[in-house]
Amino acid sequence: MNITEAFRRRFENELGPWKIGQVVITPISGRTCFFSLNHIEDGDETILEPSTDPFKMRHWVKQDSQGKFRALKGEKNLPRGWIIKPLDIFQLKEALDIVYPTAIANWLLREDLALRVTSFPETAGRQTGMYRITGITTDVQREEVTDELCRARCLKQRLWNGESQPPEDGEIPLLCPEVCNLFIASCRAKIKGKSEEES
Amino acid sequence: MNYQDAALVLAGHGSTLNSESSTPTYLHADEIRRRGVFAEVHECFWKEEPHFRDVLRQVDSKRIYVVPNFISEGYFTENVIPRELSLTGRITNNEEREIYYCDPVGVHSRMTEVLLGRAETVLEGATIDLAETCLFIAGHGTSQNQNSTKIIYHQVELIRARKLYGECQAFFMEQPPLMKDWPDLTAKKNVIVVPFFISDGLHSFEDIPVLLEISNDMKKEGFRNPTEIKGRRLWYATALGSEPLIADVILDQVKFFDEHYGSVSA
Repeated sequence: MNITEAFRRRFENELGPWKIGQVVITPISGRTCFFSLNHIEDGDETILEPSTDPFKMRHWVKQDSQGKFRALKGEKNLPRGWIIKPLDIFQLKEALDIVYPTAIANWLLREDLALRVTSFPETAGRQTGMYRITGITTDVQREEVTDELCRARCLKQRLWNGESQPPEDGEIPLLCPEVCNLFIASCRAKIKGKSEEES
Repeated sequence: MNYQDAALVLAGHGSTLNSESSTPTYLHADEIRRRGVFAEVHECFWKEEPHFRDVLRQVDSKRIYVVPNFISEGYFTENVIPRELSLTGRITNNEEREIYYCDPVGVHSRMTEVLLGRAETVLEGATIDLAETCLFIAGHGTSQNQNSTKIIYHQVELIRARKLYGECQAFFMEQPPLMKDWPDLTAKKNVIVVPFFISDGLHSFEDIPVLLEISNDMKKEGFRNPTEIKGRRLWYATALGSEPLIADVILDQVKFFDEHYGSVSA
């Protein structure tokens, strides 16, 4: 599937507004297929940093409002106060690929029944080096990491754990077809009895 | 170069703690995007999103060049990246796509110039007796894969052959010769250390200065060049990865792939 082409067709047929994670995509009235992108909790009075550059998104997603690095892109701590507009359909996709990497591809592939979901044992089982040990993660440890990392912090729906729900109208779901490296690293930390992990 | 029907995927390490670790990868991807060489340019990471495992889902092109933004051949380029991207060799045919797996940036011959440039820059014009100077190339070293040190020893040989410095040696964080032993490894009065790393992340910015004893805590104290230790002066350079020349090195690795492994490129 050509994701960009499928995305274009989808948005031309249904201009929105759309919601994805903590972001809202709004069609700009009077301009066919041009959009604005901003934090869902922001309005005109709270937007301080307007931009026309989709790559400016990288700056805004990097840290939360306290300056803490956002390694987990699905975390519910996207800072507020910015807007990007006008974005044509291709720029919109570029900006969305930055704020929620692979979310658009996951969504469209899922709708086409072509998104491969990978179970936790398969992901843990192929690890090598310092993460090989995650192959022995118990169900209890996996569930603890799911609570602490996924349920407490991440907005994504865990397809790998069979926990997804159908999206609401106008919602682009954030899908997690396979556990991320942070999850694997957290399992290792859990097995080793450490509180945080980095390599 | 014209790769208007192809995608470039630049694969970096990234970090879950250090927000600057991925900066060099973004920097070079942006520069290559600006030049308009490829139909699309994507970044991906081991420790950050988009992950190696996921990135190909958002690539549209049928021809995809993957260049590891890694400093050496080793565990990541030979094991982790091929596994996570489901590569089967230099050329992978996957669901009507061809994926071309290029050499990492660090093994390119221009990296010698990048290294020597960094060593010169760190002196900031200070005049020192190069015959009385040891240039150390600092690597990570790992028990996972011996290839990761091979490129550093190769660079040492290339630099020794130029006879610019009195000595040139390699040392490592996790395998001998260990960088913490540097005072015993050379008798030269001047020491320049260039970290053979892509980014100024955890290792090159925080760990190595402590191992060299030029700082007790980089975050709180930092360090000054040169640091005087036991009657000797030590200059410590920044990592190589932000060097603008590396965008050209990445494109060279794509070209090298076409010339040596025969993709059906333009």
